[in-house]
Amino acid sequence: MTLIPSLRLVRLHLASRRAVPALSAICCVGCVPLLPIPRPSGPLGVVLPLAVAAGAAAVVGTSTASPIGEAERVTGRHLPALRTGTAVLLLAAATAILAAAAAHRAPAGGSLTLLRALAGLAGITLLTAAFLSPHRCWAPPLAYTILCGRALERSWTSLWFWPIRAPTTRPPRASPPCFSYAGWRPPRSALHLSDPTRNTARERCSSMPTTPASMRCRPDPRFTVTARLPAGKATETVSKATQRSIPQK
Amino acid sequence: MIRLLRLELRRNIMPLLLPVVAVLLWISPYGRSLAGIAVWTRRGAVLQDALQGFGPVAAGAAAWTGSREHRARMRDLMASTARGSWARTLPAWAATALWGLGFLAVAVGVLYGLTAASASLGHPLWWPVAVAAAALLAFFSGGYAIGALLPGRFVAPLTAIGAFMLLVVAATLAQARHPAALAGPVGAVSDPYRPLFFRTGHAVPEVQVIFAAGLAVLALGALALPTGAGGSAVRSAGAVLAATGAGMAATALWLAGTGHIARDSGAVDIPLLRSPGEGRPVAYTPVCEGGAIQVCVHPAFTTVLDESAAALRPVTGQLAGVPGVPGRVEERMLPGGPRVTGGALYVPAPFGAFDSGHPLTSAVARKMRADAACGLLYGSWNVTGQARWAVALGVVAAAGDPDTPVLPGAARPDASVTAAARRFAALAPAARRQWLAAHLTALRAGRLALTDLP
Repeated sequence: MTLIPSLRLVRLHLASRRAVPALSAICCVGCVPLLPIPRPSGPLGVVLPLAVAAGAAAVVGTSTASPIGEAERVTGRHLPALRTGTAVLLLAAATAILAAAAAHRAPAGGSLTLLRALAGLAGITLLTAAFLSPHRCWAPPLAYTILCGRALERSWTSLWFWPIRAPTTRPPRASPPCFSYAGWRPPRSALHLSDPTRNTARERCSSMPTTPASMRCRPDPRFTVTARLPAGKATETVSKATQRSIPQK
Repeated sequence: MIRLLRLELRRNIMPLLLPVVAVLLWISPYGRSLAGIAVWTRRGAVLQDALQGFGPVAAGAAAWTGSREHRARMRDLMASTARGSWARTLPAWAATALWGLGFLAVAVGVLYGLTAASASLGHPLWWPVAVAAAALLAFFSGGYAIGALLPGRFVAPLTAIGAFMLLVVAATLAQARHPAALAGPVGAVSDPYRPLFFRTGHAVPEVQVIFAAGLAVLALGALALPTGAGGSAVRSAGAVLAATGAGMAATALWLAGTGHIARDSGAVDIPLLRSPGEGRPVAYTPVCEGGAIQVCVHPAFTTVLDESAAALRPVTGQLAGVPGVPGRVEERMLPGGPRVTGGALYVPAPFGAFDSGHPLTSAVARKMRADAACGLLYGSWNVTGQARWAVALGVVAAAGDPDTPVLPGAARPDASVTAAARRFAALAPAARRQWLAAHLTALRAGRLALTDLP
């Protein structure tokens, strides 16, 4: 038995993983930003490309399902290489398709943000497929995407919501599953960036239609540096988190 | 059939996904609203916002259930059973939908139970519940139909992600104030506190229920159209159902298209469904905090009255008793700036701050004081004229906000205005009140210059 699988074996393995329908599905997902829908601004402009990346990642993860099951494991020693190769191939194809779509109509945040989100979400999906089931691997990335949308709306700047961070800020070195797998915890300063030039929460939330007008422009007090209060004149009620951030004269 | 439904309920995928849904619900406006002030209109609106997380998961789960026969390679075997595929698979759809509706019922019960325990005014609103239930049924039915008609390993993830994208597009349309967004269950275009102050009808939820119910009926009808779905009677019924559903959805879209969304106030008007008296102010008796200048709020906001009054007291305390200054400040919904009517100053209430559930932050309190100072002094936010500007800044500075950079509607002051404001703020409170009593009329008329200030 040779170390390199034959071309026929590769073709059969790709067929068993529904590679062609998977590529078609990724193409369909990648074409969504090209549709003549109104281009959203604010958080929605970031969430839509993220949903596209989550869709492509879900297809990559779901394609790892084997139609043969346990019997496949005893057929030879090429299976790990074939599985890895299929996932890498589909991920590379998804990257190329989304990059092409982004080149035609750049998403909010730029193409790099989209590809970064695709890589990270594909990592989450593949890990979920390995530990849970390939058929159910779409649920956690979808939940994470919705969570990122909420984080965007609430102006959470934690590194755990790396897909919504602008590429100009310090990039995360790895995706969250890698953090947890390696047992590495980002430093506190990295979790709560308070760069005022990036604190555009007011701009972003003002255009978020999913929240009513009265709820907009409400930055989280934990990330808001409030004005100085003169000693002895603090007649107003100030939240505890804010009080901690006020230098007492 | 009941036994089959019981089996499907026991072996459904929804219970496995409910923890995910619960987490998504908690981080949605639903969870955040529990920390905020208990107002029925606001609590009702968050139910629809919660669909952003619940809807895609429901659609994905339904697609997963709908494609089960294909996934388990049971289609040929099941085709030989006595029942057609429509009657055979409906219990699976019903079980999935029942799990989702049960979860929604629990969520509504918790939300409304907590609201009933702490709300100071109002009653439960059932239209948002109806919209949420109808939209959820549409997600379940649509997902199930897609899963059954287009089975495959990718159908569940693509249905879930597609549903999420549809919701994002609906929210985008709402952001653009497009009338078609009125048919979508998410992306509120109107302020949830508006019904407290202005009469609003049920036109929007009616359109949303018709649209969602139409989609659900359309999907269920489409399930009966394939050859193996059943006999001719079943297929005819399916065609009727599909046509009815498509008609309902199209009607709802047409009704939404005739609507108009006011850009300033967010008021929605659908002429064909307009109810009498819509848009008129709602009469209510405000609750007030006793003081030299009373601070009043809507009775639904009784719990934040003391906090609001405390935030405004540094300004109201300075201006109390000055001739010409209104004796009451009432916080309410105002599309424009403040106005003085009948000896009362009406200022916009900081609903966002009330909604957060946290004590008022210093930034919000400073803005409230600046608004109130300008309104009490001049009856508007028009601070044109350096003397008017300096006096308003001085009052705000004396209230403990020396760093307030700008007043509402004004630019950053120059050095001479700032210096005059500091001088005015440094006066003794009695001297400041005395000067205002003597010069407020001239100041309002714009007859004073910066050099006339003490």
